[in-house]
Amino acid sequence: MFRFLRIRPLILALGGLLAFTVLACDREVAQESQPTAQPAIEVTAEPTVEPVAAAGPPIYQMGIFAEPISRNFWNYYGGPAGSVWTGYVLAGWSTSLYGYSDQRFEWVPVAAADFPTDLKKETVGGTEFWTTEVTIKTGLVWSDGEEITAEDFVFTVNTVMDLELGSNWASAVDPAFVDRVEAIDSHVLKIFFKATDDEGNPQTPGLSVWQFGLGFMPILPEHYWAPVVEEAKQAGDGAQQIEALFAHVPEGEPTAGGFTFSKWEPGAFFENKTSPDFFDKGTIVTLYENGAITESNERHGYAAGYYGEPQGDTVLEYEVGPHVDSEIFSIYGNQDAAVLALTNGDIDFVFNPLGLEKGFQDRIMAADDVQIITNPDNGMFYMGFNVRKPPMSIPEFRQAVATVIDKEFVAQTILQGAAIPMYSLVPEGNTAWHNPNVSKFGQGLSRGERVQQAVELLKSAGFTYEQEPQVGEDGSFVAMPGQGLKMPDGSDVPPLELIAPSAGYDPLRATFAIWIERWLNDLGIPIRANLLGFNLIVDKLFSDTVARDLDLWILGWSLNLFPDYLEAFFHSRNAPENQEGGNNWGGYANPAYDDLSFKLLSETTIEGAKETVFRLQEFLADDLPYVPLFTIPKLDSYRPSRVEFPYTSVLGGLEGQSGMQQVVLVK
Amino acid sequence: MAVSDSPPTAPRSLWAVRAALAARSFKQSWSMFRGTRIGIIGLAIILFYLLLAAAHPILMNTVWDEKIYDPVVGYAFDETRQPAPPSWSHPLGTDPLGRDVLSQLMYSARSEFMLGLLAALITVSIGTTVGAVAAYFGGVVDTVLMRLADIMIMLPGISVLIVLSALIGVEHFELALIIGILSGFGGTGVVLKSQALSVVVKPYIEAARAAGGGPVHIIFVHIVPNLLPLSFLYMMFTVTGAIFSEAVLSFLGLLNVRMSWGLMIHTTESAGYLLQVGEYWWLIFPASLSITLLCSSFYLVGRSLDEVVNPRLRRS
Amino acid sequence: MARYLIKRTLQILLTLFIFLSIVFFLVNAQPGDISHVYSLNPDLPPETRAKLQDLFGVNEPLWKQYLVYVKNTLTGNFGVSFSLYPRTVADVIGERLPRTLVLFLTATVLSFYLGFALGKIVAWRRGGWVEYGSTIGSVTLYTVFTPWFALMMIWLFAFRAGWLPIGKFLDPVEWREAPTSANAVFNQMIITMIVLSVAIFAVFLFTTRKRVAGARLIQAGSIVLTAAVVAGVWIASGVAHLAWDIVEHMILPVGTLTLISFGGAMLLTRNSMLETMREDYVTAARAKGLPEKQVRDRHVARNALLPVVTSFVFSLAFAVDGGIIIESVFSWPGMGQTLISAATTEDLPLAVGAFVFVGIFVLVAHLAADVLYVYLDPRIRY
Repeated sequence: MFRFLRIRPLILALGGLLAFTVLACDREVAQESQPTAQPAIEVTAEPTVEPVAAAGPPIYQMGIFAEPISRNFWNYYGGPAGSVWTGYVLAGWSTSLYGYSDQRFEWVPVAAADFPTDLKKETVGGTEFWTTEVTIKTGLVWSDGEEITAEDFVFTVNTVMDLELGSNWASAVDPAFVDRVEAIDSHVLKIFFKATDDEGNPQTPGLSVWQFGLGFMPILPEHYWAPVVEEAKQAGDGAQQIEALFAHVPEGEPTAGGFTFSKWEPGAFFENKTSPDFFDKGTIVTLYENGAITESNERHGYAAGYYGEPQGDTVLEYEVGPHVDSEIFSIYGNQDAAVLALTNGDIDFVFNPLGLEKGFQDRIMAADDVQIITNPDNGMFYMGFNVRKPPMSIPEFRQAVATVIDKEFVAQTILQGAAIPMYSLVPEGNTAWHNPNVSKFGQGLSRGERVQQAVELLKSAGFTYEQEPQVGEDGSFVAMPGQGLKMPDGSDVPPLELIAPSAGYDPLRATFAIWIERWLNDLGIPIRANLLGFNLIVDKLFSDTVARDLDLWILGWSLNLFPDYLEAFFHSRNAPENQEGGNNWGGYANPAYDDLSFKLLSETTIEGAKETVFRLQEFLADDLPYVPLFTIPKLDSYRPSRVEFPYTSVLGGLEGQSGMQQVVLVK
Repeated sequence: MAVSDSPPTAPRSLWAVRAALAARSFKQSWSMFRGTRIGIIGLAIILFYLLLAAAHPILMNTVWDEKIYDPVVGYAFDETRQPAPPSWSHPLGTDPLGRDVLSQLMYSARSEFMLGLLAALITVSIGTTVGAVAAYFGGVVDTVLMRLADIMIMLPGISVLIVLSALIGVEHFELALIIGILSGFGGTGVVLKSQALSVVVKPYIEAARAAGGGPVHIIFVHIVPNLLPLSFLYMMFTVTGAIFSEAVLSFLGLLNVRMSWGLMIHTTESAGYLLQVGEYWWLIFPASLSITLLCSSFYLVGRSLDEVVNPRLRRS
Repeated sequence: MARYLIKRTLQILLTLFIFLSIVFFLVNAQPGDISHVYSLNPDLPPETRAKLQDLFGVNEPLWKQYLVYVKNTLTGNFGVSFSLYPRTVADVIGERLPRTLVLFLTATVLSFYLGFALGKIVAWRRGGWVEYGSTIGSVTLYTVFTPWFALMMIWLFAFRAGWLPIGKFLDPVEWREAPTSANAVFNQMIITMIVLSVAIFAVFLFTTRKRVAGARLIQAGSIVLTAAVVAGVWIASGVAHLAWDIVEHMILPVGTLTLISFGGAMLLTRNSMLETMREDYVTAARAKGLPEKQVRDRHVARNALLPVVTSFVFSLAFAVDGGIIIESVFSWPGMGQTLISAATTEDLPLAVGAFVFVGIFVLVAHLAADVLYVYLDPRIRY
């Protein structure tokens, strides 16, 4: 309940950029409030009538350019309704035990009153478990006035497990680890994790399972949903039960965040109104320079602090809202119309999950009273190799390919800074986990030097040329492409195909593909870029038979903050041939990497996880199952004369915080 | 008019006679065509774009450096800021990715012509065959073909194309094929059939049959040639339709082509310059106007031909 | 005539069935299914992924899917949309159709009226500059690159001049307290349009057929009267300001559509007029010394109207198709936009449903045009 950002969720779908993929499902703003050490003195049945400014109701008006799919939270979080757009409109609705702190992304309690007890081994009925206990704050209420209790959490977990819900729900409640949760009393939870896997090997629920997994799961109200879930369970087999649950259209569903549903006029707008009993309304959040975070709420008499004693300067201080009466998401048909509405003054903020290209920036900057801010984003675009087939199976070949790709040239010169070159698979913006010291093949070299070095790499692995590429006099271009490139076994390098999104879907990736084709042809590698629609590429990657015949592809991911995706993308157990639907499409299989990445899942400390993640990044930058290409900056635009945000500098930008609905001030 | 090729099976003398007749009627038709004026305007526009298309490879091989002027992977290293406004070296400026707009425009003109021509040829081949066959055989064949035509006419064209292009990778060839099939089996086929009906009842068809001519012989030697003028007219409308569809699909980002007029506007749109009409006119007008002009020109030529071919519209 | 209509209806039913089959297999023969897109989360266990596929029924054999589909279509059940899950396709179409209808009924009526009026004049002034100018002008508008033209209209009238609202069909602030939904208002607008046009048509039919004295006065009076009654009903309903909000948002797209499509009607009228003018009865009318205007309007135009009317009925049917571009540029959430987003998200049921719906629409229009023809043209007897 409060705002905090939870970026945790999902590794966004491929391509990160299209709204209708699952992308981004979640970003939700949970806000932290303070667990108070002692019970609130006056539990405020009636929040003191606040002297609100009397100049007409402030409304926060935002623009989106695709329709939200559903307002059924189950469906949004774990079903086909999980689009970014649905995420934005539901962002102010839910709560979870823990979340990320504002701006710094520290792990802090949200609905929980404090940090959980340490994991401890416990044997119940002859079976060993890892257990932990969590206390929920008292005084938290749903928007209909009912109290939020441990039972609500237990109900949510049980529903996920009983119905075997997928997607984000499955990642939050990992059936391989979570055994059960119990409510010890109305406000105390006990969680049981399995201490052994199915084969009886000992296992530990690491950060991605507990702290950043179950701890981030949205909690839904039992008193509203229990009858609906019961009815759904009568609906036949598993799939039909899920279907029945997702099909429910909520009527007066209570929420835990600052907003509840008000009106949805399809194709036109979606409106949320302020939730009257929102617990965190009025909470003052303070961040100190020394890393400490405090929260206090006079209404409840709360005060709490984390990460050290508050000392020295305040970095940030603000009051949690909502400071508006209602928020309206106007639905536009395309980005042009949405940006036009912003510059025209119809809306205060516009969501641009597909990026804000240069022309839009020019237009916005030319408009009066609209401001653009830039933040790093947590997304990654890459070129993947099918390492099952030669020559992609040869590391030197992959390194040579990486060497001739001049990311800086395409990103900065051709795309004019719309893309930022990257070398590690963890984006730079994710500062806590990004390892800056990894191999950077070809960086800073001229075209001639790149070609020279790539040829050396190929020759060192046993490749031969009939005619090596000739570099032009000033070394800035290839005068004569290489010819007759043969693999170490003496056969010709076969014609290769690079599949990438078409310019219609994503001009940035299409541009990269075309340049890569040209540079590889210069090197004597017979490759052709085939630009396809996004869905066609996904189909190819997902079809077992076709995937094995692939050569190279370009796609992208939106990422979690906690980089457990390094295991999901490259561990051999996640290759489609070993696990149906696995995401290691290229079939990368390296025992050393497997061991190291698996270890990450059981890391229970940040320090341990960090060390492993750093080593994994170095490993990948040398062995290159993917060549990371670029990331894109996150640009946000809003009207400073109408709205004011407590801070604007944050990974993923204002958009990553779903427009900061619960803290924005509307003048 | 367009009847100069003689299939090897055809008796020479017949074709010689036809050619003479054709030449005479061509002269008449031409003077009528010229009289409509709008046809001449259309023809002039088409010629202009043909010249542009033809000039592109010449320029690329002589004065234009491939690194800078390539319509797809060129980059204007001589400009500091993209999109750059028109200058001597880039008469229509550069696009948001630093590519020369004039070069893109000329390069695309060629593919528009090829697309239009291909679609028109497919349409007309299918349409004349369907028309002639349906008229000649009648009965069940006719019913089946005409029911099929009903369906083709019924299909909402743009919608079909959008669905197909989203599901399979549609490039120019596939696009031409789809348009050709839709129109050839649909509207064009129906019109040509009604024309063919008036041919089938002519005495010389009966004579050919009596002389032992098989259906294939009669259809392709005696009926089809008489449908050609009308077919030619429908080619013009098909070209308009094909260019327009291509532009719309590219504009919506649904076509897998590397360069086309529609894609130029799509690039402008996705980069956000579409509403900066005054400041970045060169990103918007050249491509849009080209699409409009070329579509109109073929349509105008078609209208004029209509007046020539269709006796009921002739001026008394 | 009854026999002809029955035969025609049976033919159309057969056509519909073939159409359904073609559309279904065409769309389903394509690679790809939605579960891919929705199961991209790398943390997802395989069982869950399989469950998602079950959920969408993509694992059933094709022939089974087909049988179910045909049965469902015949009972008006187009299935469940993937991308707007769990909404049904019929529900989505029901929501979007009224919006498309209001927009395109208005635009089609306007453009045919304009096209017919101009076509009459152009045909009569054959060979003059009026003809060349208007022909070239209308052909240009008719073949203009629609997205660009629509954007120019937005830029000019909404962006630069600021006279009209931009891209949407209503103003959220106006509607947030509205007692009713936009679709209810759209439906009322459709009813209004139908009542109005039927009333006007009836009056015109009555006055011209019966040759009532003072026909013009009666016509004008009755139009004013009906309009007044309709306006009164709207004001009493309390949602007039909401309807007005929609109308304001409609001006730009309707204007654009009218400009784009009147050319077709104009050229058609012109050709039809030219053909009719060669008829003997026209020559006879002229020989009688009737005034040119009367020959034009009474003798030629009335007969030349036939093909124009049929073409009008067809254009209504194809409104959805032509609307795709206009709807996407103007942010108008109707059938066209629905189809395009269904196609790009591979929402097969919605795409097929929308298609089939449009197909049925066109077929019915076909039938309607046939009936109309029989009724309007006394020369045709079956």
